[in-house]
Amino acid sequence: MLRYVIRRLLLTIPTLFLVATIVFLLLRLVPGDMVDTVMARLAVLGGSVDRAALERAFGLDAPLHVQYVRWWADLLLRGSLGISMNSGQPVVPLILGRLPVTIELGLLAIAVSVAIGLPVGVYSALRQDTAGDYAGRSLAILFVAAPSFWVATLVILYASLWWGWSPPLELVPLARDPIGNLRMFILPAFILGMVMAGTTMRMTRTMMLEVLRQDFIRTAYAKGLRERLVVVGHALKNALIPVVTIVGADLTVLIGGAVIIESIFALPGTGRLMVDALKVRDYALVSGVNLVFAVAVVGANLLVDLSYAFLDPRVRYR
Amino acid sequence: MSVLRDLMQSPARVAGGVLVLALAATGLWGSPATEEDPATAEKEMVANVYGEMVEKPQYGGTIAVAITESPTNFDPWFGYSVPEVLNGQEPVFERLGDLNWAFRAGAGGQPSRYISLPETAGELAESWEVSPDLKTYTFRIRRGIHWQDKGEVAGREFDAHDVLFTFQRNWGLEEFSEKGGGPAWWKTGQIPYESVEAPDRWTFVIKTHTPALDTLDQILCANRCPNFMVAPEVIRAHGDMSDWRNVVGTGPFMLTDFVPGSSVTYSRNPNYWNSDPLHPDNQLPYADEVKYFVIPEPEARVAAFRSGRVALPGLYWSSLTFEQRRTLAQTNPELVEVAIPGEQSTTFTFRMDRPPFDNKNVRIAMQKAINAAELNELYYDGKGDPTPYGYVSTLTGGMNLPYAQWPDDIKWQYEYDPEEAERLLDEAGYPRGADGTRFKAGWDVTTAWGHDVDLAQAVTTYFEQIGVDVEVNELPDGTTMQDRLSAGSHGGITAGCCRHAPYDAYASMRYRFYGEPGLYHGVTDAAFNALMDQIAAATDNETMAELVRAVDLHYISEMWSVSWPLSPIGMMHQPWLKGYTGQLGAAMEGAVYLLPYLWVDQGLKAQMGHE
Repeated sequence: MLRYVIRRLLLTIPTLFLVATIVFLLLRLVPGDMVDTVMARLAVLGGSVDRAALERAFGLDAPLHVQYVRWWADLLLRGSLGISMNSGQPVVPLILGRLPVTIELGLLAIAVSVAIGLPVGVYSALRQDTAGDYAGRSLAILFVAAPSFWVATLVILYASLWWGWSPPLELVPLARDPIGNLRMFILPAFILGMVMAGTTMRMTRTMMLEVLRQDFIRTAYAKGLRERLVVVGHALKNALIPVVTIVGADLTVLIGGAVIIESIFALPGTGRLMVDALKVRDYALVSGVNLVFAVAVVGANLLVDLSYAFLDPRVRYR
Repeated sequence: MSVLRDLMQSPARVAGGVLVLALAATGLWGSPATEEDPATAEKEMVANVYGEMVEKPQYGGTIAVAITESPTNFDPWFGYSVPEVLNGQEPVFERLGDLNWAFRAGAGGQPSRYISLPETAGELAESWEVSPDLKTYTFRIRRGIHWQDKGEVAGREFDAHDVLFTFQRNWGLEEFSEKGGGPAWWKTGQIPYESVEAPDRWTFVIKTHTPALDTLDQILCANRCPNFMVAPEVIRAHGDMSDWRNVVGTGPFMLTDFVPGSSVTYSRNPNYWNSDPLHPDNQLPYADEVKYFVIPEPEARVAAFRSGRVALPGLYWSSLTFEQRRTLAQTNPELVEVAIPGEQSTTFTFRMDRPPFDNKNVRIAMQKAINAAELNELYYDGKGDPTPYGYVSTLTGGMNLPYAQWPDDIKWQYEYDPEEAERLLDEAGYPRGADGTRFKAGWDVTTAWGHDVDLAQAVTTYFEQIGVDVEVNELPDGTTMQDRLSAGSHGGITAGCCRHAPYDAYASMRYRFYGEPGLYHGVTDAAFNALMDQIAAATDNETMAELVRAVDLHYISEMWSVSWPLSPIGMMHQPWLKGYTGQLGAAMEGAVYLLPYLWVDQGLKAQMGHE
């Protein structure tokens, strides 16, 4: 097991290296850089600026390969992701300051998706081809099909039009005021969790249907066990393995969704930090946030793989 | 957004409503606005300095404002990230001079080519003198101003040595010679300075080696420009003010909390020196607290405004589009709309060194295709102004060349006449093809620069009628826009600047068009360059104004950009926010920092169900 974990961890190194390199290069291929941003800002206001001087100030006057080596040297030798061009501040604390918001939003969204997806999926499987099953499946399709940004915009627009209500604006720390904090997070978490709930619901139903037809389930019923025990104790545990994989894979959906949802709901998380950094081509900040996202995805996949051993005793790692 | 609106007309409205209702049932959010009639009680009235009877300002309360981007750094040294930085700095810091809140059109001018200077009043400097040769600028620093009572300065009295320190820091002089000047050169970086000194505690002097009419403007830097004075003790102790906790200024509000990307909180500076110019007995600011909420999405920003979570949808007149104001006026009649004197246009500019727009007749044809009167009626409900205009704003006090004074042959270029436009295109060698199209062009726009994408789409229908197929490319951000503008990689039409430019027209035109070729639009024009050189050498207002009018006429004649209706501009605010009457500075550029002068009618606010 330990050897497996170490091997997997070592394999993450080339993955992260590739991600960081691709992001570094792609960023510089996108039209515009931070100098353009400054020029654009000043041009709108009737100001002017010396392009060469700005390039020097932002370290963009060096050749691309020199910038690339500098970035890696900073990261490996000093543990630094560089200085944000836009704010003049180190990237690491900027990201760390925003992470709690994204983590809370993500955890709540996963909780929403599991809380809706799992019971409805189980119910649909147990009541296959009934009206309840059709309703559950329709709900799943609706959740998957409706883009979260569209739903979020509709909710914000119509709530303000019809009831004069809009989401709270002031970020309240969870530890200080849990209710106030939840007020700010519940709606975006619900909308973000909807897509994942749809996927979870469909996967749970499919797997439950498969497991419910297995011999050991028939045996359990034949032994006179109550339905609840058969479903929860035997069927669901076996059906959960692929579902856990889906929930793990949903992390990428979560990160993608967070980028949009955080902007719409004015949540100061890492998703929005990246959007803001991208708008102004703050290379160091975008690279840093991407690296953090990459680490999160790779780490989540590793955890999912490791969780199989706990869910399925037949799985052994070598 | 129009697509979104269309979608909302459909059954999606029902689905959205069901979802909202379901979520509302969770009861996890705050109470909705009350239906209570916000009838106003009898108001106490006072006379302002103009003798007008107005509501008596009240002290206290919180002003919540939506802003689009989070401040990134509160230290003016990092001022290259305006306006985000500037939004965060304005409440805390001050300049030597700023636009005058009490200014009314018609005030006298000073030697400057900067149009807003007549509106400028002393801030940290009580007065200033400019030597006749325009090379020595002497500022008398106002006595009795104190730094905010926090950090290393702890309420020390502000003096000329602080000003000297700030300029030395900005320009990389004396103790900053090794570090160099700030990356935020802005206008102060263009000053041809020879020396800076503070001969005594209340006098600050800048000497230049070249006389220039705009030096005073560049020193004051009042136009959305971060030339704020900073405290030497703080900079020496911390290196800079990147940590918001170290931020200290002389301004009306103190920075008390900052959640990056979310909110900024300022509290009233109880020792602020300035009083309301309209009510000189009233110490500023009126509000106890100012809160900025960062709301990047326009729909969310409007929703927050509509629901009363913010009193202002933004700090600038451009915070709401004309369409948004029209909709809000219908859905929320309680909101106050303030018409602002002056109009704005974000028209486009051609690329003049490449076909087809290198041909002046093609540019004239594009202008003649546009029915400005019709556009004004249909798009602006007749509230705009379809009269053709040049680069220089009508608000510039003598430098603008009104349409009535244009020569007839130039007026002809601006007359709506699609048949004549077609003839000009035929003559220019662009006949209609088999599909009726003469040529194709691309038009870059971005809302990040305040462009009206719907208006652009509407205008393309006029071009279609003369056989010109223009595709509007909506770009995601100002950086991409700028990159394509710099590289000339757009489709021939780009939203360069400007017509009716509300700021220093000379500097703006020089930046874009001067040279061989000019920086952005491929213009190589010896006559234009010569006029620019003469303006740079002018040393009196009359000569300069005459030259600016001449260069404006040249611009109008060459048709480097088209003219379309000027849009009516205005701001909206919650009814409990009082004191704003459309002051000129704010109208022009958002340059006057509004919030110290505004006050909260707390009774009305509570009556309307808001905390």
